Amino acid sequence: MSVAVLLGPAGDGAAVARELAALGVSAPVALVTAGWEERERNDADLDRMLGGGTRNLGLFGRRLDILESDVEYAEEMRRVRTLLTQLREVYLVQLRHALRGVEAVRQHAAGARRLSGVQLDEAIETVRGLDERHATRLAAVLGEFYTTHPPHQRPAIAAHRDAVAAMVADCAAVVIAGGHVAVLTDCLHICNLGSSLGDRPVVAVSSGAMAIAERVMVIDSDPTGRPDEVLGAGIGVVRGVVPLPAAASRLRFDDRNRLAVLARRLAPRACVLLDEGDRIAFAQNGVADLGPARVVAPDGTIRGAAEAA
Amino acid sequence: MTTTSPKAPQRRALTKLRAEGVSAAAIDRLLAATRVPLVEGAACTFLFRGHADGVAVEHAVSGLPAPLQLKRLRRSDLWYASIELPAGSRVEYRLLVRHGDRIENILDPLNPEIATGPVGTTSVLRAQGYETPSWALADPSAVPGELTDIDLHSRALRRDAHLTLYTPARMRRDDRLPLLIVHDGGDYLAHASFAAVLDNLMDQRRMADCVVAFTHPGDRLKEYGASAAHSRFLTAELVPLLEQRFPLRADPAGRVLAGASFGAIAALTAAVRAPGFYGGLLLQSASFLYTVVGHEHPGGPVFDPVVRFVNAIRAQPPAVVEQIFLSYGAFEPSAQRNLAMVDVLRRMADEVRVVESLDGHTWTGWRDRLADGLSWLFPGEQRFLYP
Repeated sequence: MSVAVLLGPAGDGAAVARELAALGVSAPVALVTAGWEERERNDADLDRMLGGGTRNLGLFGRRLDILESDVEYAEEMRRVRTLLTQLREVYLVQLRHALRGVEAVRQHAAGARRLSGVQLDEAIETVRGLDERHATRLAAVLGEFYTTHPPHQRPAIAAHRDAVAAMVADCAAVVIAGGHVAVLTDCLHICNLGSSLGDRPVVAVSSGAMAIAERVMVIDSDPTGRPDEVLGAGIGVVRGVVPLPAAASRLRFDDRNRLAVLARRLAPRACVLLDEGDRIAFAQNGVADLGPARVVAPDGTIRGAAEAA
Repeated sequence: MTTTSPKAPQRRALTKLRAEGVSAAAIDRLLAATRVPLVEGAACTFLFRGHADGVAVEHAVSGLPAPLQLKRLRRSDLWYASIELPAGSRVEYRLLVRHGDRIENILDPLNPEIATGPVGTTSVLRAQGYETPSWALADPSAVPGELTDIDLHSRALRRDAHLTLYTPARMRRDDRLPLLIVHDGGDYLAHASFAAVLDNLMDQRRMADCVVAFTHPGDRLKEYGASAAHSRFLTAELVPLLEQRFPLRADPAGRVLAGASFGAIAALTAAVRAPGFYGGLLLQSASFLYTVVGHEHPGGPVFDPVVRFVNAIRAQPPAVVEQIFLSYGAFEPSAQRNLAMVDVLRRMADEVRVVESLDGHTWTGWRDRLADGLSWLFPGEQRFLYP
């Protein structure tokens, strides 16, 4: 297992450079900037900040190439994506109503001046159930797709996976930048980066941190009213935490009710805030040093990890 | 919104003018120093300079005298009238200048700001706080979608139908896109900057990438007036054709109809005639005309089918789509009728969102509400973007 460091948004990359220096990495570093999508190759600034000589794995471009060259796979993926979109739409409808239910129970209890206790727990459990079932459904749809279309048997995918593995093998560490979390996660999966990492250190920034965790949760103050949602599974390099990057701009920290529901939806995983300057390190044995991390506690307060536990 | 006495502006720019002494030079200085109409807090003052026997503002703002007469400032050729408007308002108008029996209908010569529309050009009053949304202005950094003209023969309409098709800059090989069909496509493109709005909203990920078919009417009032033939054209001809030719979702949630005024009636009619086929409607200032008692209405024969249609859905609202977005201008005469239909629409859709704009029955007013509607009906991936 890799040593992994999760960072909040890292600006110009100086924080990443510090982490690599602290890890003693001097050989070439593999870069993943697939979350930048069409701007994937605009990595000169980051390369310079990391001392030059980085090797961009080009995962976004590889994904495009796979879809261009394997028409049958692309067509089947279109069908699956439409299905996933439909599942997400239904999940969001269910979620919206279930979260209204949580709020209704809370307000009813407040109006009656009594503790909401068990009923509130039940309402939150309903939301948790939706999250779990949605995650399971997504995994099942993708699992079936990968069973019927084994990626390693598709020449285009296999070639790109081999190329990525070879590039990573020549590098001493992997840096995964942020950007579009869904695109990034998809690129990591299709190029099977997780299995190429070996015991190389990974520094994952912002949505890069989300994508290498086991569960991707998207939060924001969406003007169209979409609730905080489970997007799917990351590549699971780190476990036991759900990183929430750019939390300061996406959450109101005084909205304790929302934060409490969020923490309880994600439990037993720790719901960790990753703003600029925040950092969580995972040792090679997979244990996270959550000491300095800000974690959302089940009562909706933000505390140090030890307090929140 | 209220009219104010002619004394109101005297406390402001015109007060100063009086204090300095009304003279041609002083009026020149006033007009050179400020934009016209004068906007001073809530007070908006129309001005006209010139010799005339009468000057008035022609507008379509319900609640204001129509036309709104201007008064002449004593011992001058400056005419004025003030109204008060809520912050964020926008009003389109023209001036009526009377010389004896002859009335000239003109753009405001003191105001360079104009709006275009299918029936002509108007001057524009921007009240305090109104700003053109940034997403409505062409942004050179946003990669534009492509507009292509397509012709097809419609058996339902018994004519060749012309389409302008917008395909987004991002068309991913593994995606199937939703489809939006827009009525009065030419007017939306020409007068509501619809293509620039799509470019910007998709570039900013405020709305999902989608294919947009801008349709162009033949005999508009007939085809859009709750016509079964037009509905058949959309549902049985146009949608299947587009879903065959392009990588579209081809499910109800991926089909949305849009329209303004009569076009909104056309969109709603098609949805009612094919329940469950479309997922969403974007209706703007719909021409909801109905009768409560009897069948007499002020719309004339062209509205007869519309009245029959609206009466029918008011009597028994069918569940037809998942989402309806409705916007209307607070100043337009049909605002109350749009508002009165909200309860009916709520029974026709799982979710209804209503937005009132401080504008009239105008293309710019409809443009200004597009982001609200499009980002709700086609939620974008902005929330997936992290720094």
